[in-house]
Amino acid sequence: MTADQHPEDLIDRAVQGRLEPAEQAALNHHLAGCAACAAHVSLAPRFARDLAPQARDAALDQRAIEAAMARMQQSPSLRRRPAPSWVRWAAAVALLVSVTAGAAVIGHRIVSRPASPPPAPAVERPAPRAPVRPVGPAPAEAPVPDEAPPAKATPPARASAQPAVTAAALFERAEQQRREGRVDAAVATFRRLQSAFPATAEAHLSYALAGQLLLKQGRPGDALAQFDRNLRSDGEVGEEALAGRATALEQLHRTADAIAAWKSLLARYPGSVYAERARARLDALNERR
Amino acid sequence: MVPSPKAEPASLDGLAREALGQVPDAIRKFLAAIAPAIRRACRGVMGAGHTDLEDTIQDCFIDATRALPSYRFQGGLLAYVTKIAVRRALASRRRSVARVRHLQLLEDLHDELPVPDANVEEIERAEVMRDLIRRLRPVQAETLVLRVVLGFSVEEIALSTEVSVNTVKTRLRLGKKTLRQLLTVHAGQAPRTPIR
Repeated sequence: MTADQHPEDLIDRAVQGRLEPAEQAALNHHLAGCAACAAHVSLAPRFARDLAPQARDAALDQRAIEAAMARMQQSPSLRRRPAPSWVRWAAAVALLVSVTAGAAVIGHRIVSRPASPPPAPAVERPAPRAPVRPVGPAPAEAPVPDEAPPAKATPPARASAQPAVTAAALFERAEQQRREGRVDAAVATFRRLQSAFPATAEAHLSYALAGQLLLKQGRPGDALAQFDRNLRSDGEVGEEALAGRATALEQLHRTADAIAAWKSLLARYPGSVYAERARARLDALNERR
Repeated sequence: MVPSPKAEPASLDGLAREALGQVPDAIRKFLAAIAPAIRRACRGVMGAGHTDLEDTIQDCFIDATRALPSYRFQGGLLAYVTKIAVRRALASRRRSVARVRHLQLLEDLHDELPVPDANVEEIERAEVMRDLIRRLRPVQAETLVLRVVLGFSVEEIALSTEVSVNTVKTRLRLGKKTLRQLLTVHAGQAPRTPIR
């Protein structure tokens, strides 16, 4: 194996800790001469930690989605996408058919006597109208060019007319209040979010954030209730909630429960930024007992 | 370690098809479904504390929505959007690197406090690695990000970038060759051959 033949399969298994001794020796031989692969292997755990889910991810995603949606709705160039080629072909064919039909009707009227009634208007009318719509500027309903678009056209208008009381808006308001130091107002808004939108990601995250605020206010009982709600609800369990819960239990002098909570944090997140603190608290609590 | 692009739920394709109708709620649901893959790719390329991270994620959402009509519903949607996100994040990092290079490292360190001392060097090495990969030719940079930073296997990269496994191996070989030279330069040693 030369320095330019990178053993990608061995690297994968090394990262997963599944190498046989002979394979490890072969890989080590390569790594000694290839700084790129050596960096690849040595930094793999670091990158994995960087990419691990974080408590703030849900809020980050929500903000980014809403901002992207707003940008797409504001900018016509972003809102409009080119229709798939088959739609353009269908539109062209429909236009051609309608023009041909229209020409035939006009020709028929010219050659027919003016006293005769107009022939079959019910058949004529839809033909020229149908193909016009797909070549319009906003082909939201392009895949079904013949259909009227009320069902699809209505939601954006309705959405823009709605008041901004959404889970995301409440979450943002609470965060703003928190940043301004209005802790009571922030907690109240978080609670409103939790009761109005209990199944949302924002509500899930708000339990941990409200718990932190309540801890800072010296209200460990209320904080514990919030952390417990975070841990009970579906979704990602953050290190912050586990660490906050353990701290609240300590402040409530529930030493045995606090020890169990710190241990639980270490078991779930051995590489957590709270791991050092958890170990230190465990030492202190065990000494105290 | 890596969420396989093959392991994505079948419903994801359904969400994508609904999003093609351009109804806002459908697009929102689609974006929420691909958000973890987008965020992961952006965070991998740019670092968790990058000041442009959130803006870049927004850009990726728009890119992914606009690219949806071109998706052939083959090979995995998460892999498809990951590739889009990696490209966008690499471009963002290229633009902002001169502006925030030194400040950023400090922010990364600050963000991750408390950090044991042993980790500081590791964080810095990871940042250097991201920076050096950014300097490679785009197609090699994209392949190396997927492989080294996001931990994709060679087969998963082939799926994601819609090229053959052999092409991926070639890109990795050439990319790592250049990366090795860049690492040598960074370590303060003169390279034996000029860097292209």
